[in-house]
Amino acid sequence: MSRPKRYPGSRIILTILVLATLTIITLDFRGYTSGVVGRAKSIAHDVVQPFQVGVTDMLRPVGSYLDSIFQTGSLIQENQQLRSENSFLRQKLLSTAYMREQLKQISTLEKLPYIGSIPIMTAPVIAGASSNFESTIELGKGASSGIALGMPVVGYSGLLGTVIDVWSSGCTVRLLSDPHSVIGVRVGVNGPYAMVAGTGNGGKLTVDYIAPGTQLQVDTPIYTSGLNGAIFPPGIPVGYVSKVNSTTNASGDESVQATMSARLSGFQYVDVLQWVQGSQ
Amino acid sequence: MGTGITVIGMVRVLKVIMLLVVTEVVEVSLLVHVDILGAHPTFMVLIPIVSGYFMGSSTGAVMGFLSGMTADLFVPTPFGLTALIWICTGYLAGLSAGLLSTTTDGDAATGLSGIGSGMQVPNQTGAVPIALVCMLLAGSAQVGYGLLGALFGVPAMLTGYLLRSLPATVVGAVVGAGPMLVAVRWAFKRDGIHAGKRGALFSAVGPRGVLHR
Repeated sequence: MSRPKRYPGSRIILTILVLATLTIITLDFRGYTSGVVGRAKSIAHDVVQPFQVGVTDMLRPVGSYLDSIFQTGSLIQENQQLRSENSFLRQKLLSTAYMREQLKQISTLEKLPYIGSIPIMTAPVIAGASSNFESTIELGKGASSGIALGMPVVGYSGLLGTVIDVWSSGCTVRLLSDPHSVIGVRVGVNGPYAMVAGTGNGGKLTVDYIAPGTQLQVDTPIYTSGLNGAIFPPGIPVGYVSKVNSTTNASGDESVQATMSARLSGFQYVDVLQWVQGSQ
Repeated sequence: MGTGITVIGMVRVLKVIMLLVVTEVVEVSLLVHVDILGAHPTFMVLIPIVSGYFMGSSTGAVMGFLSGMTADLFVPTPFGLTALIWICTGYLAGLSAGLLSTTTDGDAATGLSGIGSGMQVPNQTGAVPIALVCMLLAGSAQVGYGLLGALFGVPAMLTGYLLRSLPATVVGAVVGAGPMLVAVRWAFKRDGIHAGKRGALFSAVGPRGVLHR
């Protein structure tokens, strides 16, 4: 049994590699490598995608079974949450007719863009995030289907995220729940403007920069603001206020907690809105 | 032959490339579907750990660089971030082999020349030490990644993701240590062709001491 020897050269190699990597990170941050790295990423994704699609198609039938094995705790929690939501919806049912009429009027007046004339591309979800430190999904349609960087992605009940990487046959979508996601919103139909950020903790969001003294209630809906230069068209449901024990930052603005409208799992298809920043 | 690219070096480099590609394909195609408490296991980080543990700190660091760069092709974080963490992980794996005093051919400290030369992973390996090292270093790599992410201005990488990802990482390390050992051993297996005296593909980088048995 021989104890490994260490040579001074190993430290030199370590230093060279660390410096090389730091240089690459710096160049990437400054955007100097975006062309080369972007092309390499695109090729890598195109090579891997057939395997991803194949495995996803193969596993989908047993996916829910596997989920049930590994996620029993969260399923129980989700079940309780759904029961609570069901109860809430029963109460709301009485006023639905009135609300429907209101919604119809609002839709007619404001013409919610995602229902309106924005072209939609339905795309299959082929994989989740390849790293545990991000909330992203990969879709099976990309540049060849007209999908471009920055396009909003919506699920059944609201905004899911935005396209952050695209290659010929697929794209990566950063979900709203990712901590890097920050979007401009309006709390309530005519409420204050604010910023919503992901927390990396399921569908929980934080709503920041709410004007001081604003009175908010639980379940107040949150929509994309659509202000000039916004990265999303206005009126897309984002979520609803889930906790109103607000905190105040140094400038006096308030923050509350919210929950995403769209579910983060269990969907197989999403819609990519073929809308890019400034096209409204 | 001492200065040229040897056949054994080329074969070994191709095998290493294949190891990286196949592991990454398995990771992004299959492992992303395995959900353990909201996270999935990762095998890519095991490449520098196992390589470093058996081949020495330098080879571990080089394999960390290569596998990190490969992994970075599939994540939206700054290019090179994963590589930075895994270089250190591979290097630490080499040091841990010394600490645990396991059976080894010795630390080659050869870096890239270790990949291209006549080195190979020994056959006698303890299952418990390697599983333990994989578990600890894979977990440490996750913690390092979270810390670095927080330093880059995303505190949620520590608060939101890190705790959730640790169980999956640890389980993945324990389960993947065996198959990765087999894969790394195959990649670094001597092919029956004698390398040159310093029969490395990049012998200028390897400082010294390419070991031949």
